[in-house]
Amino acid sequence: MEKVIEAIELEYFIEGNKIIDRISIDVSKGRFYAVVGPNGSGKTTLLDILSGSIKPQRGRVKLMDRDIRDMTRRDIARKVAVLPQDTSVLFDFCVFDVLVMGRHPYRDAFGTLDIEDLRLVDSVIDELGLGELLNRPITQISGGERQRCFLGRVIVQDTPIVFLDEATSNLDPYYTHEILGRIKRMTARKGVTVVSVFHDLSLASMYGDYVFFMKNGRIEYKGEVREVMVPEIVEDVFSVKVKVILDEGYPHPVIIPYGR
Amino acid sequence: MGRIELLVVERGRRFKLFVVLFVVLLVGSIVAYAGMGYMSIPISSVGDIVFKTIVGRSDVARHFYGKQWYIVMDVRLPRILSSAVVGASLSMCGVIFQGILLNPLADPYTLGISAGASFGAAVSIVFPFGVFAFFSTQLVAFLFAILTLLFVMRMATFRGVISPTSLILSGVIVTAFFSAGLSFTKYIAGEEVGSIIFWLMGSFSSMDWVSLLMLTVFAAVSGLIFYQYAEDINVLSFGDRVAVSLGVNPTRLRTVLLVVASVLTAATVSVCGIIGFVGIIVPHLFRFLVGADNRRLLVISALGGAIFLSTADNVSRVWLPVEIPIGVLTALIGGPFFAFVFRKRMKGGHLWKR
Ligand SMILES: Nc1ncnc2c1ncn2[C@@H]1O[C@H](COP(=O)(O)OP(=O)(O)O)[C@@H](O)[C@H]1O
Ligand SMILES: [Mg+2]
Repeated sequence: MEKVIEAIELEYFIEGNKIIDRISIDVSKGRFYAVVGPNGSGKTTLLDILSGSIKPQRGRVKLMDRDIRDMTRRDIARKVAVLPQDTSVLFDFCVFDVLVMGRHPYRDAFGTLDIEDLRLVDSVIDELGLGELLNRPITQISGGERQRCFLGRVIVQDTPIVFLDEATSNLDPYYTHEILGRIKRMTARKGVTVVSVFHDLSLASMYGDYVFFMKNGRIEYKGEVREVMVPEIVEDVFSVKVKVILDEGYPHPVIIPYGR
Repeated sequence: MGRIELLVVERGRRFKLFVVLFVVLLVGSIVAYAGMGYMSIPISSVGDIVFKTIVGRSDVARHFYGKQWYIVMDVRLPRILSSAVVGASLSMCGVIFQGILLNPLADPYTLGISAGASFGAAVSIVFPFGVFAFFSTQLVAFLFAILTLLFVMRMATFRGVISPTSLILSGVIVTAFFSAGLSFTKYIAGEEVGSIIFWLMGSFSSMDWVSLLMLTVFAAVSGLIFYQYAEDINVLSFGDRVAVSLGVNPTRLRTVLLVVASVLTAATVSVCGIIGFVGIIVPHLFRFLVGADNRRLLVISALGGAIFLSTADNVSRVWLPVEIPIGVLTALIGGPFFAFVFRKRMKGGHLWKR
């Protein structure tokens, strides 16, 4: 299968503390990767390295067969879009402004948008049903609507790779599944590759095809969802007792923590 | 044409309308103010004087209008235009600082540029010997402002990254330090304390064409740079991680804009002292009008700031029995006005949350 991300022997330190400890991963086109692990295990840092936002002291990253060090930030932004959990909203841009920002990596020297850019924005507005909200300041819409708007920005960015960092942790079940469902369909329909950090292991199992378990800056376990979402692994990584329900009418493993 | 094109066109039209309105208002008030003062000169004469002088027939105008020509061209216009340029500059810098510091409460003086400049000016007034004998107070103020900037930037950089919080904190520290230095200098200044206070309060009364020209060049070049980066600043307002994911380098953007905005701020401080309030209030006011987009905000704030400050200076020069320092007046007029707009706006449930 076609590799879109290849990371080799990544190491990242902050003042002598190892934050990322010899991580190597391969990511194939069109698949949905879930990254799970305790708080502070380095998930966000790993995404930051893979998206060129921070530079590891050791190791290298290849995005679509190019070394990330040879790519400008604009080049990278045309390959990878990122949807974080919380986006600070200090100024009241309206929803339309935010959607258009997805085209930022494609603007020319004069910063103009062409008709194609606007068409794409238009189609995303329809797809996400954002028509009613276009002129609303993002400071004045609900958290779910806001995240849907930021998802719109990510889709408008039109990249082959999408990173989600706990993108649905603040949302109710309806918005959670709406957003993850849309992303999942993008993998099937457009061959988009997704790497998503999850806190909720059941969600990771439902949407992920493949899971990376991180602990102390290392990838401790990895594999297809059904192979690795088992009590032994989860208990080892998270130090909690869990029951994993499999094949009892659920299409994917359901993970229920019940104690320490 | 789809809905989107219509939306874009409609917003563009609204914005252009504001721009035209503001340009007319600005030019109108400059001409009107040039006619006002101790000697009242009809607007038509002001227009004629300026027009003839611009098209190279100043000798004709000078001959015809006599003393009026000198009052308009040598006394009033440099002062009015300077106040307009400074108003525009401080407002643009306010937009930039609020944008890169991710803080709607930031202004051009947040990073201690003004405190550094004030201290430098005070020192050069009190100790007019040694190196200070060679440099004018203005130049010393400017150099201190730049040194302050370099120091703040150095102090706020960690692992090659400049974050808004570390910048603001460094600014607070540096401001406290230089304010204490300034107080001490005033304390030991004796008779010179009056000149220090006068210098700091700011004034446009002694502006000439040379300073005006210099300031205008600074403002124009900076304005173009700001405008060029305005779209990046929009992206930056969603935080560094989002900015990076959209292809913007936050630290580089901050560095470039900090340097340019601080140099422009330093230039205004060194020619006309410290004029508070404009740089924080004008961007807010016009965000209400044109929204958060920094491109539009820059243009409209520049025009609005120019109108605001030239008007404030005119109030002081023409309508008040004694001239009050411009920095004091801006807050006196601007404060209540902004309080009014702010209350009105908040009742409508707007402005920023959190
Ligand atoms: N700027 C920073 N300075 C110091 N330590 C940091 C910084 N950013 C992250 N870390 C440390 O790196 C580790 C991994 O952080 P992070 O990648 O955010 O974890 P996760 O996303 O898995 O919760 C944590 O132990 C955190 O304390
Ligand atoms: Mg994290």
